Parts: sequence; C-alpha cells; structure tokens
Amino acid sequence: MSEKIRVKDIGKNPDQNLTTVDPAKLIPLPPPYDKIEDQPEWKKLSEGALESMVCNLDGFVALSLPKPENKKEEKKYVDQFVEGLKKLLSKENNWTFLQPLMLSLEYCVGCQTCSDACHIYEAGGENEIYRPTYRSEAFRRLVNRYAKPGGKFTAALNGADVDLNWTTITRLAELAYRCNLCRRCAQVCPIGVDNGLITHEIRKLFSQELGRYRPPARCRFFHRDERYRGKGQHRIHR
Amino acid sequence: MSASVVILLLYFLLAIMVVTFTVRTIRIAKYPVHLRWELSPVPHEKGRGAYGGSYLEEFEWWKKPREKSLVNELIYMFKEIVFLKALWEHNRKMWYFSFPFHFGLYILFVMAVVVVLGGISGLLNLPQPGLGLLRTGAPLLAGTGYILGGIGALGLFVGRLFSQRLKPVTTPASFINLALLLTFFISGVYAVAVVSDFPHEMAVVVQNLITVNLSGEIAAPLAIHLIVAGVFLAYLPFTQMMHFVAKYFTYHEVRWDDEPLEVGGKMEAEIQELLQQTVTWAAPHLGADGKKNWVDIATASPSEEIE
Ligand code: SF4
Ligand code: SF4
Repeated sequence: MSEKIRVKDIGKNPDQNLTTVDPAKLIPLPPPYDKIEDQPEWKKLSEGALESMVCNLDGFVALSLPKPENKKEEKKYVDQFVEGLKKLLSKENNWTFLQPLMLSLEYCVGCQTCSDACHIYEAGGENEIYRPTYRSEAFRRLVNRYAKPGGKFTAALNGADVDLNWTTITRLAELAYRCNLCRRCAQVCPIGVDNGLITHEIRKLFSQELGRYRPPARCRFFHRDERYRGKGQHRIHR
Repeated sequence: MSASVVILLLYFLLAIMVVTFTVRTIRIAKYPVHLRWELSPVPHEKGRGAYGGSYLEEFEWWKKPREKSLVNELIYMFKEIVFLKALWEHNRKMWYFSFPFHFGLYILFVMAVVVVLGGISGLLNLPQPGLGLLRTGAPLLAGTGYILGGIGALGLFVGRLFSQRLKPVTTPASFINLALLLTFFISGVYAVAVVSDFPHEMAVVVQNLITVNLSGEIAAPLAIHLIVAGVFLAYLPFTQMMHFVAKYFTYHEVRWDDEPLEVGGKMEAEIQELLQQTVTWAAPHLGADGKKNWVDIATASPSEEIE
C-alpha cells in the first residue's frame, strides 16, 4: 500500500493520515521485545489534541503545529513558510550551509541508493514516506516551483507538482523528525547529495522562521529550561 | 546535407552549452564558504583515511604540520569516476546499466578529443603519427562507445519506466534526458556503420568549425548525429546531468573539506565579512530585529533570546 504513495500526495487529503505505521511491518526487536502482542499499545492522541493540532502524517506528532482557524490564517502560515524558504536560500540568512544545500537540492539523480542505507526506512517497514528521498523530493519540488525564477513554467518538466498548502508544510515539518541526521544516506550517495542536510535545513526553516522546533531531549527531560517552559513545544504524542 | 546548416546550428548550440555550463559552474563555485560538514572517511587524511580518522585526533594538532595524501585522494577519485565504485557497492542493480552508460560516454569523450586534435593538426599540416591506426581504430572505438552507452541508457530508461522504487523520484525530465541520450547513441552507431570514412569526415567537420567554412556537404547520417549531439550538449547544463561537475564540489568542497580556519587567513577574512550581514529570520527566539547581524545574534545570551 505504501508503495502507492506519491510525492505529490503530501499536499492532499488533509484530514487523513498519509500513511499508518503497522507494528508487524517494523524490523523485529530482539527478545524480550520480539512479541508484538506483548508490547504495550501505542498511545493514541486525545480528541482534544486532535482538534487543536495537525496530525496527518503517520499518526504521530513530534511538533505541535496548529490547525488554522480559517483560510486567512492558513494563508498566513503558508506565507511564513515561503518567507522562510527564501531566507533559507539566501546568502544573508543561510551562508553557513548554502553551498551544500544547493548542491543537494539541484543534483540528485533519483537512483534511490540512499534508501537502503537509511535505518529509518529499513526498520520502519520500508514505508515510502520514510525514504530519505521522499522528504527531500517534496521539499525540492516546492523550491523548484515556488522559490526559483520561472519555477511555475518548468514545473511540468521537473515534476514540481507538490501543492503549497498547510497540509504539505505540516507533513514536511513532521517528516523532518523521521530522520536523525545520521548522514548514512549521504555516505552512500554516488553524487554526494546529502538528504540528512536537507532535513537539517527543513528543521532550520521551521525553527528560525516559524518558531517551531523540538527542543533538545535534555530540555524535554528536565522540563526546567526557561526557554521552553510553557511553550507547548516539548511534548511528544504517541 | 548542406554543411552550412549543420555548422551554423552547431555554433548556436555549442554557444548555449558553453555559456550555460560556465554560468552554472561559476555559480556553484562562488557560493560562500560554509560551515564544516565533512563526512568520514576523508581519503586525503594520511594514514587515517582508511579508518575514517582525522587530524583532529592529534594532540595540539594546530601546532603540527598537516599530513595530506593526494595519492589516496586520486586513487579514490579514479575508482569512483571510472568504475562508479559507490554505485557498485551500494546499488549493484543500477550499476549494471549505469557503468556501461558512463563508460561509453568516456570512450566517446576520448574519441572526440582525438578527432579534434586530429582536425587541428591536419589544419596546421602537422605530422599525424598513427593516422592509419586511427582510421581503423576510431570507428571501432566509437562504435563500442555508442553501443555501451546505448545499452546503458536503454537499461536505465526501462528501469525508470517499470521500477516502483524509482517512480517517486522520476520526473518527466528524467525520461527526456535518457531519451535524448538514447537518440544520440543510436544515431551515432548508425553514422559509424554507414559513413564510409567516419574519422576523416568528423575531422573535416571539426576543421570546418574552426575555420568557419560553411561550404560542402555532410553525409546525412553524420549530420543528424551531430545535430542530436549539439542539442544534447546545449540541453545538458540546464539539467541535473551536470552532476559530473556538481560531484567535484560535493566531494572536494563538502565531504572532504576539512580545512581548519587559520587565524588571520583568507577564510577567516571571508567569514568575518559574512558575519556582518543582517539576519532577518522571524522566529522570536532568534531575536533578529532586522538590525542585528550574525555576531550580535550568536553572542546574545540565552535569556535574552526568549524575550
Ligand atoms: S540522494 Fe543520492 S543516492 Fe539518493 S536518490 Fe539522490 S542521487 Fe541517488
Ligand atoms: S540522515 Fe536521515 S534520511 Fe539519511 S540515513 Fe540518516 S535517518 Fe535516514
């Protein structure tokens, strides 16, 4: 089923999860955790949580992103994202990683060599959306279509068919937390494209423009860091 | 076919290629210095590259001369460029087609260089040692290049058409690129097969290009092949097929770039300048107010950040 998910689906059907995680398909754990039936069930999100925040990727939430109240609010969020995209691609705001980012965005040849190196994809039941390329390709298509001169004209050629909406954006943000930036994918890429870096940059965009990020685990654990107290961004919902 | 049409068209297409190729390459090269992002193993780490080590393991490394091995780097590059080592190790299925495809192109590149040099030396009336060998060997070599390339391109095309795995990252441009390459290889094989003195005819075209000689005729199969080659070359720099240039940068300027910052050096000066730029990121925790630069923000205390 997961094979059928296309990159452009990231922006479709906002009220459904793009995929579901089936514990039976995950890589088996060693004993004593090898019996799925003995595992505690994954916690479901409460009704209240589901009403107030976006949960439409795979049933899990790493970032508590809000549901827009109306079209106007959705447009505001989308505009913020586009603004962030421009900054991410600018020397002034992102000289620190501009060259590696542009190389990774412009020269992937789509060979999928990186997928087999990614433990998230391999251990995560080889779900299409956990491929290193899924997140990168969705982001690349957004960049090609909305952040490059003439992008709308070349869209048909370079397959830039991803809709720019809050659904795409929130799923992309979540997907940036289905990668631990280990760079195993970059290690095997014949071109030297770095999907880990693309994740890093997507997280940066959300953090530095929209103020949405997951604080480091240390801060979540102690819950004492002033910077994060009461921000509602430290919870992980499962 | 009239040589004038082919030659003029080739000028036009080659001009597009040269300009676009140069602009795109310069653009990659001129990106500002980035933060260190090397990925082990770095082959030029003498004695340490093999296990993914680094000069940073050395106590007070900055007081010691750095030991680099250019040979290790060149060996790595040779294996990667000629044999596509990474693909062989990590994606064998694709290697079976990608390798002949690339190797065919390398053969044709060598052929093109030989033909151009032959054309130039003919123009200058220089002695052409081995001309006889070239006349018999060149069609064979070119034919091998076209056939290998064609088999590879066909395999890659069919793979993209049917593989569920490749589908999500396949775009219409992927098919156009491969179809164009396939046309190039097929038209090349055909030209080699039917044009009687292929190397000589090619050398004449090169001479006509150099001397702006628009007179005469070019055998139709060769003319068609040259036009296809020209279209391909003009189109190439617009696509991710430029990855052979990008790969130089992804390796040398990212994966293997472990150059430390030298106090008072060129890199420090560039970074100092970059740090003066105004930051406009909007998230409140950064405290960028449209006036602060990188230094102001990086040196702000965390308690200020949350204001
Ligand atoms: S990132 Fe590299 S390995 Fe992955 S599909 Fe692109 S070119 Fe291939
Ligand atoms: S960096 Fe991310 S995408 Fe790449 S292999 Fe690691 S987890 Fe997978």
